[in-house]
Amino acid sequence: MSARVDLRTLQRWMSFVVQHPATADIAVANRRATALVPKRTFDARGVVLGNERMTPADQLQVYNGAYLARLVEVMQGDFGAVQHVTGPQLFERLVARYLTPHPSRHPNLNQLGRQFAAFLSRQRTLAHRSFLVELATLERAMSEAFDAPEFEPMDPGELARVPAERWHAARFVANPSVELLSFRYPIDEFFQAWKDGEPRAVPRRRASWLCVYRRDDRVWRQRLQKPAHAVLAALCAGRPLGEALELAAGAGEVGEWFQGFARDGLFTAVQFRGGRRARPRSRS
Amino acid sequence: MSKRLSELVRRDLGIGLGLRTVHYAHILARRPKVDWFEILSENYMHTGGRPLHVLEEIAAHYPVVMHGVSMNIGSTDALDRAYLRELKALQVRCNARWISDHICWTGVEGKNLHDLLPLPYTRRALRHLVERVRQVQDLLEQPLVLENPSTYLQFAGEDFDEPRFLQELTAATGCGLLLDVNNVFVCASNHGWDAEAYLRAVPWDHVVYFHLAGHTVHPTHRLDTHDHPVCKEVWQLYALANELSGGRSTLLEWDAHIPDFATTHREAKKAEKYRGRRPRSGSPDRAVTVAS
Repeated sequence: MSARVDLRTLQRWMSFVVQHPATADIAVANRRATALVPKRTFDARGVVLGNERMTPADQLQVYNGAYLARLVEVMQGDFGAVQHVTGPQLFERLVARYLTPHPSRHPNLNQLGRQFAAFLSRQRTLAHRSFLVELATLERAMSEAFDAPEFEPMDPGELARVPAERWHAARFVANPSVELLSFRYPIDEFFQAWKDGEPRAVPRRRASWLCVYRRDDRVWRQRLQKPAHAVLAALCAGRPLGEALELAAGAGEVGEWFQGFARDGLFTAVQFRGGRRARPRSRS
Repeated sequence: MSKRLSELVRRDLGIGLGLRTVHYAHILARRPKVDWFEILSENYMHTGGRPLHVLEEIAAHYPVVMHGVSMNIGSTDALDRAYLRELKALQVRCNARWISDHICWTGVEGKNLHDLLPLPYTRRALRHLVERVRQVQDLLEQPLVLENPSTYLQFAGEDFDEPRFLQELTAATGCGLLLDVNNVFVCASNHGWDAEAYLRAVPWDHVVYFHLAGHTVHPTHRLDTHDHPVCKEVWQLYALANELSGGRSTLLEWDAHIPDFATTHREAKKAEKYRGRRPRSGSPDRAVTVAS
């Protein structure tokens, strides 16, 4: 081979064969493969030698089979609840289909499932599609919260130093793991039941709201009421506290919500216009 | 050989273990007496939470070495400089003694297949690899340590056998070698190589450390799965490698069906029996039989 095929061509060919969703012997006969390495060259063992126990296609199949198996295993780890709903065989077929338009392009496998929810949303014949999309969205959010950049939670003293007359103008910096989700299904209830080993049937639609975040190196899920979700979303978008709280005007618990958000480490800093952090009260 | 590589070769860390998440709790709680840990570099990159904090805690108490699977050193794609910068930053963070990866390619055209794909052992591939290793070493400012891969095919028209390829690569770049003894055995079995002759041709003054692992036997080939204890034949080869090298830092990898920490550690400690053997001339008294 190597005398006949340059290294770049060899790698493009082998990459295609290894990733092919069927098998290596089908892949080497595909037009895209034969444009790089003619089938007659392959058949003459002009690229891969083979041996007395394995043909060249058998040897390539070791890599082809391992490729899908490895990435299915990664996706099973990231989307266990989705797999529970689809069953393992359909899940594997979905992953195989997913990998063609969305192969890994990153050194780290934690990025592999980034587009999976969006991919599921395009599978028109998939049973429980809209539910699965939301379930995949939750599982992906949990992975992203786990791997989110490092941050220092806000020092509780920083809040205490905010003068009362400035509270309404205070803006909060969300910790980078925070993700706010709104669903048409009770996704978190389903997910928790699955985690507890008490899986349920796919539920009827019922709107739900959730905050996923990391605190003390653990990923947490906090179910929210719709107004609390709206307040937190406004705060995470950088709107001033006074403005955000108005979104839940009339809700008696709004102060408790805010204290809960702060206590749970959802913010890393409080700022005022111009990006300045809260400063200690003047001692003069 | 550079002074830096010579230091790495002489730095015998003892017998280490591959750090795996299932053992985090045990290690953090019990602080077992382990000589050193090898981390999978990518597990601590592009993440900002628990993995890094666990790593910092472990690096505070044990020597750490970095072992990667995504450098893609043999690819014809451009080197991923962002990846290399992050690798270097991780080394600083955990005070890793050295950085290793594999003699392979993992993807092309921007895709990562997350497999250690074989390079043809040709002059052209060697020139390509040498240039890339030099670039990486310049960027990392240290010798790169590269592992002989497990392979399941051989390409037609190769110019070198694997040991000769390693000789040429190390001579041209001054890089270090991670000699995976299990990989030598798996390849010898799959391709009909003479494992003992392979070891005798290894450029030992470049070998920084050894890997040991288990593998799976299929009717037609052996697969490097890291999911079994080390087999008898690999221990025999390891004994010979110690005789030929005078001993090197040694690491046990166990990546699937991982047993509890004590069992994994016990398996690694079996290496003690073979370490520190003096180099000697003449043929070894044990023949290593390779059969699939």
